[in-house]
Amino acid sequence: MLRDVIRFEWRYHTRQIAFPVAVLFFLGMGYLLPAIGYGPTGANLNSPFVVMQSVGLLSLLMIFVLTVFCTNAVSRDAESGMQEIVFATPVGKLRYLTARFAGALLASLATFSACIVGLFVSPMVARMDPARVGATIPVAYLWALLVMAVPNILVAAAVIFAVAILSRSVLASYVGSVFLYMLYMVVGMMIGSPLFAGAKPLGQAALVRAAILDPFGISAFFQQTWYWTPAQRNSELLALSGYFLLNRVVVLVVALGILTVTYQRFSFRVAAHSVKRMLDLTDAAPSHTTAYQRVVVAAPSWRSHWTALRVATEREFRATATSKPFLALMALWVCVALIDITDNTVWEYHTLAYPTTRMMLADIQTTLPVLGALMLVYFAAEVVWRERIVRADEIIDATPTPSGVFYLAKGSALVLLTWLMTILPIVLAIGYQLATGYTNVHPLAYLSLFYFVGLPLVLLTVVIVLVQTLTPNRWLGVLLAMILALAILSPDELGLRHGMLRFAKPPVAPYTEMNGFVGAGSFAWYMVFWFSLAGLLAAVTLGIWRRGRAQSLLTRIRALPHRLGKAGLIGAAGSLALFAATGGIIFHDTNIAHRFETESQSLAWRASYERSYRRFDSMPLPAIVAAKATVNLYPSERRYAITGSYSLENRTTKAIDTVIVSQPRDVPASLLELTGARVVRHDDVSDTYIFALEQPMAPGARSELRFSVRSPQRHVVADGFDYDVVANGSYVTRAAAFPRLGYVRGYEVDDASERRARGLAPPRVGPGPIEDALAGRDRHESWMTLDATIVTDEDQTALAPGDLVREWKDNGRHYFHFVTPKPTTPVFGFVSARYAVRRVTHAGVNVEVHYDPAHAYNVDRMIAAATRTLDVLGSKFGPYPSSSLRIVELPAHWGFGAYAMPGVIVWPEDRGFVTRYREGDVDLVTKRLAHEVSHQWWGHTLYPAQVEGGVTLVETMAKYSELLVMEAIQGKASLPAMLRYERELYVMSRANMPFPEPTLLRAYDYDFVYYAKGAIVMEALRDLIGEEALNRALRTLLEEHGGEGKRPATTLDVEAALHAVSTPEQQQLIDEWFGKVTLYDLRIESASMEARPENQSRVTLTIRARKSLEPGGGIKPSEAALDELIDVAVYAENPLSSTAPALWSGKYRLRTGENRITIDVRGTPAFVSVDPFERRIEVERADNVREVTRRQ
Amino acid sequence: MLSITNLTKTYPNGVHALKGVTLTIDTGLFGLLGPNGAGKSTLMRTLATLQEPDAGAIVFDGLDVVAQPEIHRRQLGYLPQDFGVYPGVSAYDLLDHIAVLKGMSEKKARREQVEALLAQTNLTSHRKKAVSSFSGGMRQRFGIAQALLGDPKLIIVDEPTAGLDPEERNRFHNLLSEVSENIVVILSTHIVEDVRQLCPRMAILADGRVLRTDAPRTLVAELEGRVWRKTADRSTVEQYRRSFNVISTQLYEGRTLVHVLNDGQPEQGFEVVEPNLEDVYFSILRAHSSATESLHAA
Repeated sequence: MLRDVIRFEWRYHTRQIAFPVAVLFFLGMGYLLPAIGYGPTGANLNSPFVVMQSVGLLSLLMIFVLTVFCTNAVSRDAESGMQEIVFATPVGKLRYLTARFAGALLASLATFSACIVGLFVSPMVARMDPARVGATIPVAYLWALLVMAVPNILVAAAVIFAVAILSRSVLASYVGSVFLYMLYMVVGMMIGSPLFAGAKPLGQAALVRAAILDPFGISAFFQQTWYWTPAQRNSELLALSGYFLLNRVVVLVVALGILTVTYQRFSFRVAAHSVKRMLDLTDAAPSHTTAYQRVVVAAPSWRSHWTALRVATEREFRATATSKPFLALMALWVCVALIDITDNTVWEYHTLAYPTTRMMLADIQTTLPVLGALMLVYFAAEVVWRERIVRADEIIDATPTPSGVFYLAKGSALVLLTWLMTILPIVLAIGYQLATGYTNVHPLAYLSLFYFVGLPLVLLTVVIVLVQTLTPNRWLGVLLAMILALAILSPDELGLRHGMLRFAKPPVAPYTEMNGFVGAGSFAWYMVFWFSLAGLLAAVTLGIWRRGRAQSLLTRIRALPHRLGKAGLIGAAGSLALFAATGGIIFHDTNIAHRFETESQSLAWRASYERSYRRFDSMPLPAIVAAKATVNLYPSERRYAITGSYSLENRTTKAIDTVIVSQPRDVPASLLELTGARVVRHDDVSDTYIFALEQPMAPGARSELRFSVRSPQRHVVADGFDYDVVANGSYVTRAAAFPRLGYVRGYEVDDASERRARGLAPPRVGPGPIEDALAGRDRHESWMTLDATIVTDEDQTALAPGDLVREWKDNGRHYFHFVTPKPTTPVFGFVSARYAVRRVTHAGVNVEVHYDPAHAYNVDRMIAAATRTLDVLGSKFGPYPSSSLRIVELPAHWGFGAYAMPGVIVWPEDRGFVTRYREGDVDLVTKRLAHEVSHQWWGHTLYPAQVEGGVTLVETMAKYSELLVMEAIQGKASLPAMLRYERELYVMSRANMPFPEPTLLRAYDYDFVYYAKGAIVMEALRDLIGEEALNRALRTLLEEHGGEGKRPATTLDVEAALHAVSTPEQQQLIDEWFGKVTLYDLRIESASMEARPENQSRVTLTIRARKSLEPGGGIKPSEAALDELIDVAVYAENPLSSTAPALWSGKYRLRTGENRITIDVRGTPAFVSVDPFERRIEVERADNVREVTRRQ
Repeated sequence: MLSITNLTKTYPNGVHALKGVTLTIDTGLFGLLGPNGAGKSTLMRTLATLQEPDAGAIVFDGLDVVAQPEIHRRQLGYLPQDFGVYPGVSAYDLLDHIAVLKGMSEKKARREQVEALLAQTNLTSHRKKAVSSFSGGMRQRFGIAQALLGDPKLIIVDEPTAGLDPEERNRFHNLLSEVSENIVVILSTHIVEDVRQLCPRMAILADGRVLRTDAPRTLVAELEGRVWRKTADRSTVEQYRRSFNVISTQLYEGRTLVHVLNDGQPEQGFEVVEPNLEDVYFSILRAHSSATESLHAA
């Protein structure tokens, strides 16, 4: 009997049109994910890891399908008027609920299975990189379905079913589903889940918390696999153990609990509210005495239409805005918005930033469109169908109000709801700013949400209302609208790059405090374009608007021209004309006046560039020994023009007869001349010039390259902005604007499979081996002098490397003439903005901070940090190499942390200028500044060979300098917290790499190696050989290789310098740390203590230790004999939560295997720790600390 | 004056709801009587512009209703057979809302008429209460109030008295007859009593066709002296059915009262009765159904 009822339910669901639509959608999604290369770069597209992650992601989408199935299962009796009949049948409560739930659940599982099929088949059928497809592991798919999808679908179904059946409200169930989704989002943001952008390194504690809380098990999955290597990801199945098992059990228990409560609270009564408030009518006798008065209605006019529109809009808006489901959604939105708002005030090393309007907005700008779209998808179904749901349609449709008014009223009400959702986070954000004592509120920036987010939501409203008008019922409408909204919100995932293909999603530049908005005009063009299309869609919607009895779509479409009427058709034609016209303008500006390339076009010219010019890669080139330029910046017009020249000198030993010059592709040259040479070839596509010298340049001979270039001016931006020149905060670099000599390796296609497909050799790995440098073959550029005159707006200050020799104003323009007194590394750029400046002279160095007047917060700290760094590093590495040090703020659209040019440090606003330092925090401003200032030694004095390991000489040494300065300012105790962060960053990042991790000796590309690992290794090295010896070695290096004309250093030189100051045992460790991927595993297995007289204690502990070495380059790690001195410390309090110093610390020689240690200390030890100062790299560190048990 | 010519409508599922309806309706109350499924609601909804006929014409005071529904709606008052309302909206607010939709943008005039209609439908004391909480009778009165908003020239009420108690029905009738003085009011119903009480003219609709149109009084007069009555038990009723033109049978104190249409006394024991509208209705329906039956038999 139960089986029959369930079979009935199954048939009911599978015959709804929503079912095949959902099945197709999931099949498609399953197929699409591998086809678009979804998953971490190191893992195969069909690896168990990626399958599990895909199934987890797709199971989230099931929430929306479940909403349709569950609400349908529950509300169909009431809506079809079957309620009384069904409830009066003898079907038992348990059987009724079981059947309904089982039906919805079965239909959902069947739907989801479609995506498993898609995932399974896709790697066999779709065209994808064969290197990323491994052997198919069928059990991985079943496993993912079983442990990931089934519990997720079960718990989501239980929640939505419970809400639907207990509230008997369709909308309430929608909100229940949104709530589930938000719960996942909140947990995901907590751990910086890889499903979200911008994963942050966090401790195991946060991972574990999220693993338990995330109802969809995705966080638990990541928790278990956080440090998995690509090999593990490709072969191992997720283990049903640990927190993942715990999570699944909790989820199932919760689901069962919800179902039990639902069973208990459900009763077969017709929804209470439809009965209880029925009025008891005891009318007095008919008493009307007035006669019926007609009121003549004036002919319809704009005024009467306007009144109707106003009243109808208000009714729609109020009905939704005051409904419980909407209020529940708003409550949810408050939570999400608060997370959004506070999220951006936390930065690296868990430091805080001031709640600038930019920080407040950054996340809201990305979540508001998503939540707004979700709201529209669900509530549009309610709003569009309202009269039909309550059966008031016959009365309303028989009124003379034109359909257009109803359409507009419903659309406007939905738009007003999105506005309500926009105002809410603004109020919260301003409240947060004021509550934290921050008063620099930018109202205009907040209002921009209505423009950059609000207008696209209006477009989405038009589309969704059209969908609901097209579909025969609102369930199908919700499903189709959801699919469409997903597609519209994620054009990148669909491979749509051209702005004209990205409906309602033109590129939006981030708001910055310094510069405000970029690209509002470009956005406006797209809005006119899309709104004219929306006008057309609106005309269609109006033409098929439901009026009166349900008519088939076909009938309504046939009646469209008639119902639109002449005015409507003219309007539609007008919209179409405007659409075509703006489309034409945008297309012209994007594709004709400028270059727009699809991915494959871009790959094509790169491949052809490589084929044509690679032969020049090894040809000798003249050196640029001096650059001279006049840089005309027009910030208000967002453009620049540069005229200048390079002095060239043949510093090779061969005569040069051909010179290849490349101009950055978007910055065309109107003049490019090489003295004594003619252009034999100019390649338009890559903008490459080949000059043939009439007289070959003999070694030592000189020549001159003169050029004149100007930036392009575009009105409409197709995909992404450039920020070279903006109203306030321009930054034009040599790389962006100036001609380059030689073959540009950066143009080469670097994706292995794309290269294979084009018949190109395997990609270069890294910048070339160290051996190239030893043979004098590295692409090291000469040092040069710079003589630059920067001309900018009158009220702006311009900056460049060198000494400011003259500054003047003329004809409304501001001139700055900078000259480098001696050759520097060939790195320069020009900055211009409205700056305030603070200057001090410290030990003969002119230290300046140029900052936005609103961002004075940390200027004193910067001056202090800069001068202190000059002192500390000057005393350790030798004098500062320049006469000035300028620290310059840039707008936050520059994504880097900071960048050091010779004597000039450019530093985006978010990354230090608005940092809010609290006592006890890592001093980010000082740390970063110390790092950048140290580059004047490491990078601009020691300018290494451009080969593997070059970055180590620059960045690892800067990380070391950072530690030296921080220790000098904040004391030794401040180091472990920073090192802990570096280690976490390193072990997390190395798990996500597409190709094998290099060693420090041969480092390239992977910044976590030369930054994070580098910092730990340098600290360990300092501990190993002593700071004095280490600094002596580095000083030798600077003396031998620093400055112009010296042989560029490589990491081999560092190694040699270190060997010179160390013992053979130390040398071996140095070689392991620099030349191998070395991982330790130290674990305290037991620790106990015994009280001794006179407040003494004896601690006995066993430490299990091992070490693995990997030669680098992907060769498998091997066990190595561990035999070295490692720190052990004893604490009275838990060192992880307390900053109390150790009772005792010292070094013990630990060997592979078990080590027993006995330590006598004064006081009462409670905890012991091995390697407490973070000098060895371990993946798992939770077992390094152990509580001491008291032995009787 | 409303003239309906050759109106036909077939639904996508094949139901032939209107098979060429032709009617001419003058001012005053017009009763449209017919059994369930006769096509009454289809006709009403077509007159209310809520659906379009497949063929045929509707002209009201010179206006082609099918071609220009939006103009027709301005003179229309419509009370559907079964309607719902926005939940939680008070009677006053809802009337005011519909008044605006009917084009009354003048706030004062709107308020006065809404107040007056609430008084006339005896809803003044419930004006602040949600219509969704009203009982059937109150809801129906609200329905007529909204149909009377503005200045309707044609009022269509579809099965308005279904579910009303006798007193409520009475009140409803009074209101209808009061408003029907200068305008066309079409009352569709399957209750003969409603038509008898209210309508100077009527039509009988069955199976998508108009069977008769006339004044009830004329129709009744046609049967004068031809309706015979007898009380019989169940077995004989069957026999009468076969032998005579039985137009209705009705239970009366457990026995069956048979009405037979015949020019003379059909049999001993039958007595002639004063014909009523019910006899007219049933006789016409019966004549129609036997005609279609014989058509099918042939």
